[in-house]
Amino acid sequence: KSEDLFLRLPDDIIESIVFILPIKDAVKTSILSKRWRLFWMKTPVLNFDYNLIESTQLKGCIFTVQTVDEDPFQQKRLLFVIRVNNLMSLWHGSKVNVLRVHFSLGKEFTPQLDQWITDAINMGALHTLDINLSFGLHPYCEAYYGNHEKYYDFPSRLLTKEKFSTVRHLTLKCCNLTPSCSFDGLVSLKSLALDIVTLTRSFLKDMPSHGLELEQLSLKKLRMDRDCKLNIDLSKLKYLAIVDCERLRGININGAVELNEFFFAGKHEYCSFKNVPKLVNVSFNCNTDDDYEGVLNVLTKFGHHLP
Amino acid sequence: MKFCTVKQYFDDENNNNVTNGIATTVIPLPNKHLKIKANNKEMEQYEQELLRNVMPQELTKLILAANYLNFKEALDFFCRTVANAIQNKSVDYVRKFFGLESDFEPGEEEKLCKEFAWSFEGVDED
Repeated sequence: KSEDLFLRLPDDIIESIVFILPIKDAVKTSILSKRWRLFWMKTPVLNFDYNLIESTQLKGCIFTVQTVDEDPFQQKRLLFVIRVNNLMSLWHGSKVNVLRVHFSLGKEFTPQLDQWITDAINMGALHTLDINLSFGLHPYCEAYYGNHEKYYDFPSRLLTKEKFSTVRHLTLKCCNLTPSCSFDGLVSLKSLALDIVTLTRSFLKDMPSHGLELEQLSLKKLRMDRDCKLNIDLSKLKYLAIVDCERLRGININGAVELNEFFFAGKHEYCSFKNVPKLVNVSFNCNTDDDYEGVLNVLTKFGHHLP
Repeated sequence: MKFCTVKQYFDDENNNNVTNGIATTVIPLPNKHLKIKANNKEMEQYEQELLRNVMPQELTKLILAANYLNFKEALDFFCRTVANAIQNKSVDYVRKFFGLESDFEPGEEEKLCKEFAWSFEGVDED
C-alpha cells in the first residue's frame, strides 16, 4: 500500500524534488526506476562545482588528451569538464534558470565555457549566471591573481541587451571582461558582483548613472587599464562593496537614496557621499595607520552628509 | 483565502486524498509557517523534527494534501524536506524511502550504473 502512495505523486511534484537536489544526487535518481529515468534531465538549475569530481580517485582515469604539464590538478580540471559536457549533452530541459560554474578553469577551457554559457543564455530564461573560476587552487587562486593572461575571457558577444535581458544576477570571478565588453547588456541586472576581473575604464564609465535596477553592487580587486572615477547615482542600490580596486581614484556616492550598506577597503580619501538618507552600515577596512587617518578624514569631511 | 478548498474538502465526503489525520497536520501549518517564516534556524529544527517523527509515507500524504489544498509554501517545504532526506544517500536507501522497486531489465540498470558511476561515489552509510 505504501508503494501505491508514492506512485500517486504526480510527475511535477517528483520533478520539484529532483530539481532541488544537487546535480550529483539528481543524476542518481535516474536509476531508481523507469519512471524516474528522465526527471533530472529537465532541471532548470545547473550547478556545476567541485562535488562533481570530489569523490573520484584519479588513478585509473584514462585521458586521451596528453596533459602538457604534470599538474595533477589539470587532470581534475579535464575530468570536471568531461563530466559537465556529458551532463549538458544529456540534458534536454526547456529552460535554464540558473547556471553556476564553480571550478578553477582557465583560458584553455574557453570553448567549453563559451558553449555552456551560450547554451544557457540561448534558451531565453536565464536569470542567474555565476561563473566563479577561482576555486581555491593554484595557479589561479587569489594569491596569483596577477596572472590575468591565463583567465577566461568572458564572451563580449553575449553581453548585449538582446541576449542578456533575462539575467538578473551576475557574478564573475577570475575572468576578463575585455575587449569590447560594454555595460549595455547589464542594464537589467539586480545584482552584480565582479571579483578579480579585468575591465577597461570605458566599461565602468558606460555604467549608466541612473535608472538602473541594480540593488547590489560588489566590485573587488578589479584590474583596470587606467585610473577611473566612479559615480554611484543608482536610485535602487541597497548594498555597495568596493574592495581593493586600486584604480578607482574617485568614488562619488550621490543620490543613492536606498543605499543601506556600504563596505569599503582601499584608499579612503577617494570616497565621498551625498544624499544617502538610508545609509546605516558603513565599514571601512583599515590595514595601516594611513588608512585609519584616511577614514577619519572622510568621516569628518562628509560626516554631515551621512545620516 | 488559502482555504476555500478546505471547505470543499469537508463538503466532499468521498474525498480519498486527504485523511483526517493529515488535515490536522496541514491545517495548523499556515500559522506555524507565518510564525517561523522569518527564522530559518527554527525552520531547520522543525524540519529535523518532521523527519524524525514522520515516516516517508506520511510525508507523501502531507505532500499530496498540500498539493490538493493548493498550499504552495507547505508543498515547497515538504519537497525540500524530502530532498534533504535523500541527499547523498545510496540508491537502495532512496528506493526503500520511496517504496520503489527497480523495473529495469537487468542489463539496462547495469548500463545506467556504469554511465553515472561517479554519482554513486562517496555516499553516506545507510
